[in-house]
Amino acid sequence: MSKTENNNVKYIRYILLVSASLWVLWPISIMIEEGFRVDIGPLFSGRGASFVGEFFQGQGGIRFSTIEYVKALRVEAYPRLLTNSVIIAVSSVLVAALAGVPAAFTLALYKFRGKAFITYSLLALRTISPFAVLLPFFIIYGRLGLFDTYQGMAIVYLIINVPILTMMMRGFFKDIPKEIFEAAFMSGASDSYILRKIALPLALPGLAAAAVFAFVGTWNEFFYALFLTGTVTKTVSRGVWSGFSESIESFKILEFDELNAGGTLAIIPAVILALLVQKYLARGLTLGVSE
Amino acid sequence: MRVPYKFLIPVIFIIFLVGIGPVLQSFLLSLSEFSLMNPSMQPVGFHNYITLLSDPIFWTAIQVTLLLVAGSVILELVVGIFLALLITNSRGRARSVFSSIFVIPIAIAPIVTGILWSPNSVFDDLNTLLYYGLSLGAYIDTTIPITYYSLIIISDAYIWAPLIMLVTVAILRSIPKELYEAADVMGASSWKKFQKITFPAIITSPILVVTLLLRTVDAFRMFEVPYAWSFWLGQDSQLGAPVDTVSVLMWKMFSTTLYDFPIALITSIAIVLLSITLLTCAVILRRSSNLLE
Repeated sequence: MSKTENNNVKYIRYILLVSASLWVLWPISIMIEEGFRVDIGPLFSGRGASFVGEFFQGQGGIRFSTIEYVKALRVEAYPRLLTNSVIIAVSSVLVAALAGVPAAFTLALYKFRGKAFITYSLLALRTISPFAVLLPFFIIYGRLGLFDTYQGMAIVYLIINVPILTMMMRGFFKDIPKEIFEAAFMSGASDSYILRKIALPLALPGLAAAAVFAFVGTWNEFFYALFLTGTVTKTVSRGVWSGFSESIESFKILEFDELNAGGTLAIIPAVILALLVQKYLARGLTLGVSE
Repeated sequence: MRVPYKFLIPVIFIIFLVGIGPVLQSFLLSLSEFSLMNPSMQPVGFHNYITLLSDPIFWTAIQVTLLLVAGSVILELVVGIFLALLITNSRGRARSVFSSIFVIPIAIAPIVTGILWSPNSVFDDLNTLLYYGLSLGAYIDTTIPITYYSLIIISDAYIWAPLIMLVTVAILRSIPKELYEAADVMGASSWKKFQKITFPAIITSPILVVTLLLRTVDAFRMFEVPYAWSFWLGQDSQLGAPVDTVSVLMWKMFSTTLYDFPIALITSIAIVLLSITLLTCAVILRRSSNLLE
């Protein structure tokens, strides 16, 4: 009696788990499918039905076509966007790590005046409305010629990367048993020595996770890219939106197959990287507030 | 121990460079009459704020934002807790596989989420099925406010429910096992245990409260999904359109009035938003004392 009951509970749990996965995977699979120009319309009537307002947009067919993906990859738009995104994200994360790791070390081990100020600033920087900082950037970049340059974009992305690197690394340094540091300080080692030779090697996996996490965040960022990138440094998320074939975004044509193919290409690296660091996602997303 | 202040110099420099500096300049801009055509920075006091507060477009945007923020935070709380309960109740392989699947949306760029849930993606096949397949002659009309507001809320919850899930899983793990053992001794049913132990533990957890606060302040700047929807609905050049959140409104003020966009006015909206952010962050920091240890 109780055994069948247990089995029932088990089945219900599996049904729920699978339906919950559908909630996640269904929209993604539709996007991939639409990118292949597949549409179930012809099964029924020879036409697909998409309704945007009163506009009827028949498109697609049951035969799948790789044209959108090939176009995206072959016209060299996607490879170029990918290079741009990687250059910008890597340089920004690198600078953020160089600045953030020593600060994280100090925040994790010491109590000092101004600690609340720094923590608060980092928290605020993470949640600030981009518009509160963006227009000065826009004006100054216009004057300094930093508009649509790799350096300019790397600097802007410090806004999101420095809080992430600093606060995540602070957490990882805190995870190291206190006794290790106490012993090191007793033996009279200097701060930089302890950071370089003891703390950093122990927190190295954490540093890798934080860097990957920040990379994904920069890769996915759209808002700053929309304002400050142009034809030269356009990033993946910006390029997906404005269309691969289009060089300057003056107006937007809704090309759904292209958008879907581009979206698919854009999420592949981000999803893989995020799954690698999934243990630390909560820490990264909340800056360690949720611990 | 001497505090190595030199370690803090780069971060403080960056905070001033990309944070405090630009914010101060934004504030100065918001107090002046400034546009790219007329870059004179004539001080006008709080004139911009008065213009703003007396503009119905601004208030509409505030209402839209509040609606979307409330909707998405509530939905992601419900979905996130549901996913967390599913995950904690499964074992072994299933657990790791499904929790990996559930966190995927976090990695998807918000702008792509706007595409994912657009009328022509999810609803393309669904509507074909409804309209032709089942010959209902009816379809889900994504241009009705209730549909597109729900879809924007769903899209946002799609991205962020996994975060609530991760946090809730951590909370569930920290509930002492003895509580459940004691409940078993007293012969409590699973539902009773959920009602009396699990649910209160989740809801009253300070961690969840702080995470929700962070999500709320984050949701206030919601941009990508409503921005995508302003295109799906053909409202991209209309100021004060029904999907305009405050951020989308600012973007439109910036982009649709070429060359003479009201920079000063936009910055004053930004400063209003900023004050909300700063206040919420102060509350968050107060409530999560572990950050200052």
